[in-house]
Amino acid sequence: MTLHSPDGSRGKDALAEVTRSSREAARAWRRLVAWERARGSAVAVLGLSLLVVLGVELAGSGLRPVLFGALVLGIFVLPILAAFSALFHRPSTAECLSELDRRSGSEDRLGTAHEFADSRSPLALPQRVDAAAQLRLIDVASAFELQGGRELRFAGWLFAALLLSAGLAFSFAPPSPESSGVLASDDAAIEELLQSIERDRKLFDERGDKRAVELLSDLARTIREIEAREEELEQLVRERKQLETPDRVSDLASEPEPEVAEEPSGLMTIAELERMEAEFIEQLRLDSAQEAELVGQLIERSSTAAGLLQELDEHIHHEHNASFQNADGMTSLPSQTSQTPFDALQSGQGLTGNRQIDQGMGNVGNPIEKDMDLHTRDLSADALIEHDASHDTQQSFNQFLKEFAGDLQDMAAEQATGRKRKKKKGDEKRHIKGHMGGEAVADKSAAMEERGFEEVGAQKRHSSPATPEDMAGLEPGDMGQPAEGAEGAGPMSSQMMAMKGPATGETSAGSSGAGTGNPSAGREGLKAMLEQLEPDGRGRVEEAISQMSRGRMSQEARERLFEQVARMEVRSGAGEGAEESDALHDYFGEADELLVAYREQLPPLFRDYARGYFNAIRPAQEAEGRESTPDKNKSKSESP
Amino acid sequence: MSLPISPDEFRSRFAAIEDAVHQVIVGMDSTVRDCLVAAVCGGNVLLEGVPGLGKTLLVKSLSQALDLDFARIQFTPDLMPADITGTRIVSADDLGRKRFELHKGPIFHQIVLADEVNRATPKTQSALLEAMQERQVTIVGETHPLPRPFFVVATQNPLEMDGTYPLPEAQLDRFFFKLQVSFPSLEDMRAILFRTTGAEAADIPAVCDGATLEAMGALVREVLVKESVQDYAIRLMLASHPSSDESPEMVRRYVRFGASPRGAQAMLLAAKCRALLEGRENASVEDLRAIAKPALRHRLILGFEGEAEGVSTDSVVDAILTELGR
Repeated sequence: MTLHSPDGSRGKDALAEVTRSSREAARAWRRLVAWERARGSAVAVLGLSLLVVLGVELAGSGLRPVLFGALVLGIFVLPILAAFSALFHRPSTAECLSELDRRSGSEDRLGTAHEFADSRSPLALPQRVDAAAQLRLIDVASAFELQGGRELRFAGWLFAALLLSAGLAFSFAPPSPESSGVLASDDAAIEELLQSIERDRKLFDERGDKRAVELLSDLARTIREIEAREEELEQLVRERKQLETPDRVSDLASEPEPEVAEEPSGLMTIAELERMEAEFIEQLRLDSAQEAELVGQLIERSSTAAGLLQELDEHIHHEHNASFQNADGMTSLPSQTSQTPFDALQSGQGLTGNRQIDQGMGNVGNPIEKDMDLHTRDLSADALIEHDASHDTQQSFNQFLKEFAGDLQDMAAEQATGRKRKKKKGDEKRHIKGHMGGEAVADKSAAMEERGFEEVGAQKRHSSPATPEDMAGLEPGDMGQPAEGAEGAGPMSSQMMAMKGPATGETSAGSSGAGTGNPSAGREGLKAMLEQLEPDGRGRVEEAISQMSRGRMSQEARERLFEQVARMEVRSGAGEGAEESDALHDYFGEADELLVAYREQLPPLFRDYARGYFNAIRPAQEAEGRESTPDKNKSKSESP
Repeated sequence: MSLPISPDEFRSRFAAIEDAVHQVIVGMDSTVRDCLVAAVCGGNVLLEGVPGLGKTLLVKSLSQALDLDFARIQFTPDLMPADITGTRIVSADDLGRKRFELHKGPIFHQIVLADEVNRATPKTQSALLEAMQERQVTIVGETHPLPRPFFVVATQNPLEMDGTYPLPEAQLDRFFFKLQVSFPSLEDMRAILFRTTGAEAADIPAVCDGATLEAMGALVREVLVKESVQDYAIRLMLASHPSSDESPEMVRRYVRFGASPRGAQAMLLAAKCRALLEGRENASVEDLRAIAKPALRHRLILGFEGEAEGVSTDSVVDAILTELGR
């Protein structure tokens, strides 16, 4: 009996149908594998996470948010990754059909049909047809249906248990080591510090410096005692904290609270306070217009400065207007036919005459505009040298006044904030440099170098004695020494003088008292300066300086700022441990002041070690904040 | 290439034979089917059951349905091999001349029922088993082929083992199936009594013949078996050995010897036959699992511990099937 079909088409169609189903089965199988892997990994990760959380709780070390976050992330990420790994699951056609046979209960029909696709057995064709018929009864997707409801429920219970355990762990988590104590001290750094102290102590001992040895030994002993008393210090801080607990507030609850307007309150960090202070100091700086105005007022109201400026002005203008005229309207010149007009000027007579002319004319305008004969201008080398020197002197005086005004501003800012200004370049002796009079030289530049802009020169052309008004603002000792070889020196032989400060001997207006670290010295310096500038005590200079000290900020704005700062508490770092930080700040401040006060008696290394210890016991958060801001304690004691 | 018989005809023939046998035999559905499967596959069957369950009637009915000549041999301890195979005897013709004449034994039938085979001596048993295996008998130096088809059904009484000679393992391995005849149920007993104590006796029609039976056997061998199914049969056989990696704990503990390759052959042929009966042209793992017990239960040799604890080979086969899975 023959069972072959005439053309075998039925078999081919059946085989194609079977092959097609294998591809569909492959896709469905891969999807199922992804699901099963994801499900399995989720259950595994949940179980493992639960064990970890329970283990952490039992160990009592506290569940950190980072760990919990990593576990939760793993619960969601690992199943996804496991599902993606199914992409690498690529079964063969035979495997797909076998799996489909198994899942669909086809009893190996499909796999046999595929395996015997090329068989010439008389039963191969009917078997293939039978397989295709069976395939039509199969829903491939249903055969690879995603299951696992029980596992999902189990995973849900695990997740709930994990959340509950984590919640309990967070509730009872012990405080982090950083905030567990007042002094989060770096024990390793302190130990290293003590070892360095010991090494240096031995060095000083070898050198025979008993004082240094004694100080270093005391320092090391003190550090050890402080470390030993850490617990006591923590207790003090806790007691201090308790004084500010709500218990005290509750005692006052029975009293009717007065109505107070809501005021801004809160905590501000040290960095915020410093920023506010910097802004305040910046507000003390004047803009150019204000500075110019106040400098002008200062000059105008300072009799000494006014007199000097007038002298300068007259001299320069006289230089411009120098000419020779006939005796009409002029004081006759000495009949020295051999004397050149410049010589007359040198002798001072010409100057006097010019003054008269100036006074008479009442106008010291441009000589060219005055239609004066240029050929009458004295263009000798010496005259030109003196002329240029006058201009230089005037410029120097203007610069001096400007810097003087700036020094006054800085000193006012120091007294307003209690902080010392930073030393600026050129804070040393500031002079009004210039030279008036001198020997005639052929080369102007050589003459300038020779003169060297030394302090004070004799004004040869000034023949009249100084008026009492001119001398009013000067003390005999304040006048600079006249230059060597000066002729015609009189009481006012030093037209230009260096403005001297009080007893310190420094010439900078703003540097008085700056180096001692004592704000009161600054106040003394300012008072003495005011007295010198305005001996009649009319207060106009002081008023100008007060205006400088206020800066651009109005009085009302400044008062509001001070009140705001007074109401706010300063905290350190992230806000926790404010009381501890306050105690530390007090401690650091007092110790630092002592280090500064006794710096002459202490060896340099002692101060460094003491500060090293302070840094080691400083809370970590504050230490990080201070790394980005200048160490003010260090700057405070760096002065010689 | 043409088929000797179509699968549909195979199924119809098979069903007809079953129906014919069941006209006399009540119940024993699986036993009848398995006997017929063994017959189709050219194997021999060892029936084990208590007396009076109709084992002889089953074989006799089967022979009637298959239209095959039937012989029954009652094995007793004094049975000689010649009683099975036959012998030459001296006989005289009409003229009085004496000559040796071959008297064929009962083995020279197409269906032989060897009743209580375990009661005969091993020498006698071996004569039967040689015939079962070789399909020929040697009598006084002369080899005589046995008729085709040739099908032996041996029976054993699980009771009264005293004074019996249990078949050796080598001889047990020659049986295709070992079938256990269970006691009939109440319903079956009613039918049995009705049929056997009534006035009318059923007559079994011949629905098949030897040639058809052999054609059916040929078709069974044409059934397709894919490689994984064949491998599964091998794994089943190997798992019955205690030294196998896939053998379960029960095999390692209680089994002394596992099945031979004849066991895999029997399983595969039987699976093919079952596939055809199920309407398939391919054997499957399910087929193998379905016929694993009759094919393996007599091939597993239990050790002393297994014998002492009364472990049944069926439970061992169940353990093997559980271990391998699908």
